[in-house]
Amino acid sequence: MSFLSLIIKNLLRNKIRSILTSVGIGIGIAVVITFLTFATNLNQSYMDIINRCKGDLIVCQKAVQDITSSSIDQDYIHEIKRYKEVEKAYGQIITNISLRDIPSFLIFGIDPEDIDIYLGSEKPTLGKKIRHKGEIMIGKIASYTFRKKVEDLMELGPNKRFKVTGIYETGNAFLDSGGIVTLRDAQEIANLKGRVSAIVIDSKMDADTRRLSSMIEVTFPDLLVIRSSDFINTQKEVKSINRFAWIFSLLAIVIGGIVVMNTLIMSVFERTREVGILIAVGWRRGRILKMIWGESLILGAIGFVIGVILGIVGVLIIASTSTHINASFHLGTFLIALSVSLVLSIVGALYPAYRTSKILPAIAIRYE
Amino acid sequence: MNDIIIKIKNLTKTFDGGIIKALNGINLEVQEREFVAIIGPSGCGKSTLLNMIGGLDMPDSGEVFVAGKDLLKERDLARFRSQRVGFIFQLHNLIPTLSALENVQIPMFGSRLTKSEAKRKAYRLLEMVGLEERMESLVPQLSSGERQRLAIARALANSPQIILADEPTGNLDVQSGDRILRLLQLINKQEEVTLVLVTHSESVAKAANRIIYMLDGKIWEEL
Repeated sequence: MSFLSLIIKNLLRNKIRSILTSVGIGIGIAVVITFLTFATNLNQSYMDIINRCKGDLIVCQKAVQDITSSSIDQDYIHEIKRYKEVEKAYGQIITNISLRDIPSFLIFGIDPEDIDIYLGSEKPTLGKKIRHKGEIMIGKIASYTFRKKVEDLMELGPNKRFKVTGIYETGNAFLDSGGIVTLRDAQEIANLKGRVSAIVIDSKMDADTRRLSSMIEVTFPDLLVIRSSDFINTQKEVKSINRFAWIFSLLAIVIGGIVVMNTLIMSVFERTREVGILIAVGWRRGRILKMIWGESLILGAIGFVIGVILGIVGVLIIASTSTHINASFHLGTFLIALSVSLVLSIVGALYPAYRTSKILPAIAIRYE
Repeated sequence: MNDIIIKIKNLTKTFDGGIIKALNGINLEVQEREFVAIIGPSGCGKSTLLNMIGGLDMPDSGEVFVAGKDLLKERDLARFRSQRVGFIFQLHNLIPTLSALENVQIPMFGSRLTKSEAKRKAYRLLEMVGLEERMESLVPQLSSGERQRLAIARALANSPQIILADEPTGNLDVQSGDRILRLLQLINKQEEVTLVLVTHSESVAKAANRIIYMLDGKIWEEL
């Protein structure tokens, strides 16, 4: 008989309890996977848009929740272009509107000549790029959601009808579930005539971007200049979602830990006499502790497998009900989930192990 | 004359903050291959004495030398218990979810035996106690007598020099009890194992070569 088979037999003594414990851990792991996957995908989608903009700095309104709430005067673009450090500066609008059953439809407004910023050099999957006012390109997800194809008309509000010129697929959930219109159309839709959400600055090769940021902020006190790489950290909505994901994950971890601990404590209490016997027949306490850790690790491993399955199913179900969320999975999330199941196993066995180390064999062998 | 394998000097042990004096100045010597029975009424301290000899409990004062080890100074009591002594308890204390063969292998964890050697040895021990045909049976499937024979096989797992038996027939009918006592006598002779048996029954004690009477934590008489 191997040590592992002894551990497995111990767990099989009370199959229902072991299964329920693993399911408990699994639910905790599934919550971690689901929330962290969404948070990671959200961050990546945001960062992807910023990376597509190919700018060093992003200028937006000071003290706003996120870029969709930002509104700055379009004339700032010309002012900013005057700095010698600036290679290129352009404005864009990112706004969120509600359409009938769809609570959130993202609209990206940009000059048609800068359209490649979002789409790269690739052509739309279907149709062609926008050139004029009254035209819209929509993402593949949006085309499914609104059942629109090229040449169809799309209503984005009262008397705001747009002709769908093309359908694109970027792999970015925000872009693919939204639409791209000319900057002027976006300004009308968002009621931001003469204004933009943000100005993207592409600085010259050896420009001192820190100095440039300071100069802009001093000259125009209502503007906030953010490095592209720091942009995600300044978006309060993203930060809240990240925080929310971690809080729920931590809650799930704590509950999972208590479940493991409860099971192992019950198991150790029930086996007090047996532990005394093992000590009496010459087992070292270290070996008994190893047995308890082993039981805990196996419960954690089964819980991890259950959690991965539930987590994937959960992400797929939730992603299917939301247009802004990708159902893409990341190795890092699963590694975090694996670490969580390991930590749950180790921490959950701490008190039972401590309890075992305090068992006096002479008393334990008479324990009823 | 055999060597002394157990030597106890002025052993005392109290419980409940000194209210209960379980052992009150015990002096005892047991020779190798002896079969000693310790007899006395419930609460006279005989099981406590057995626990001291087996390194399961520590005295308040006195000295305990077993198989050349000073147990009060012994750092590795687990190794001592594993290799020098084997325990048999009244309630057999077997692991119910394991088979007879697996129960005998439990003390062999940590020994130098390979898995197959441990299995072979466990089978040989089950043969010795007449349980080879029940080796795959789980503990609840065995009768009380069979369980106690299995406990004897487990006690012999690491070929100990001493077997400590605490009321080994206390839970058995007369016939099964006699069989266990004959088995213990056989082991004492064939395996040359020193046997210390604790009982409250005179008829059981008679199976031993030497009988020690205990009362109120003291050795009262020796036959």
